[in-house]
Amino acid sequence: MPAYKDLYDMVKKAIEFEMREMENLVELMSNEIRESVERESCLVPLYSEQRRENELIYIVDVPYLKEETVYVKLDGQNLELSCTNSRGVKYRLKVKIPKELEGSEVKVSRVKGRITLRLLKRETK
Amino acid sequence: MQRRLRVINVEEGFEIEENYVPDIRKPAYMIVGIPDAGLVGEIATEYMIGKGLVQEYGQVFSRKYLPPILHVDDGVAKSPLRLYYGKDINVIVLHSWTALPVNSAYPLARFITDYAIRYGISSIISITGLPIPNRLDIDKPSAYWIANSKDLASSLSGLDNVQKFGQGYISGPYAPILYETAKKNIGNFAIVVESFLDIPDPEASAVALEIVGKYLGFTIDTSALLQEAEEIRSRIKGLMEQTKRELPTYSSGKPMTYA
Repeated sequence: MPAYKDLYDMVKKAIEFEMREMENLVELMSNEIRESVERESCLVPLYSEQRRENELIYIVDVPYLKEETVYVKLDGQNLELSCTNSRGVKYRLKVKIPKELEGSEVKVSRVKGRITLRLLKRETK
Repeated sequence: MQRRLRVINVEEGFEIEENYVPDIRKPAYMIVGIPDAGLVGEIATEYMIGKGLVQEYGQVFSRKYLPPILHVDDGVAKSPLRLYYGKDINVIVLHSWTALPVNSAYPLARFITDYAIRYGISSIISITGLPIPNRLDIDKPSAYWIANSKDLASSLSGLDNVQKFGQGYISGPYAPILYETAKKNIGNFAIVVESFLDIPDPEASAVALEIVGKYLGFTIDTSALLQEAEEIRSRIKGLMEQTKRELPTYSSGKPMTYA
């Protein structure tokens, strides 16, 4: 606790600190609510999972896909794909991948109108 | 057009409402399109309906075996299991607009067989998918046939673009139809096309329709089906999701109930 010459300064600093904390909390909650609303308004696309010896493939069916909207994120075991089609429909897919594929590179391609996400198992030395 | 209700007692639990009795010529055929792998059969028969090759003339009801779902068509609620007839092509189509629970598979197969006998159907043609892992790598999926008798198998062996399905298994709604029709001496073969399992596959349906057209001697222009593939996939997403939930029960044989 720093020292203050004036009681007013001390109280003012404490109030300012609390206000900043509150603002941060409000922002955090707003973001969570916004993300939750966004998630609710997204469709889960149809997808097919194929496990092979060294790779895992997801084939995702999003008709009328706008290719430039495809966003893929791998965070630990959570693989997330989001995209929008040309009719403005938002899609979001969240899947849990096996532990051994954590940190894999995700190769994204579009084949015959479907999105493919290919995760290759890393070679252990 | 006279509307009447006929209750067919040959298979307990099913009722048919027919708007008219189709004037079927011999040899007559029936095509069955029920949702399963890749919705291959369902898309094929829906395409025939959409293109006006066959027209609706009846509905099949079952309090016991069908889920409590009605299909709304142009503002009118109807049974999801309906009958269509194409006078020019002389074909009856049984099409399901909803996935069917596994406990309806055998009773429905017996119902289809009895209905085919009633109308003097020579052969029932089932259309289904053969899920393969490398479906995306294939330009044109291969097609196979599975017959319910040796005689039918030998007549099918001469067909172009479709091979014998040598060894393997068939599960789901089409399996009991093969068995029940064989018992009653009705021809039945399944056209099985390489497909996705749980993603709609209109391209596989186009292959199946080409084979059906050749076998029955009429032309089906499947180019529109391929052009409309994206629209079809978009429209039947819900049906595929419903079917996806049923698919595991088809191979495990566990009874299924609808919530």
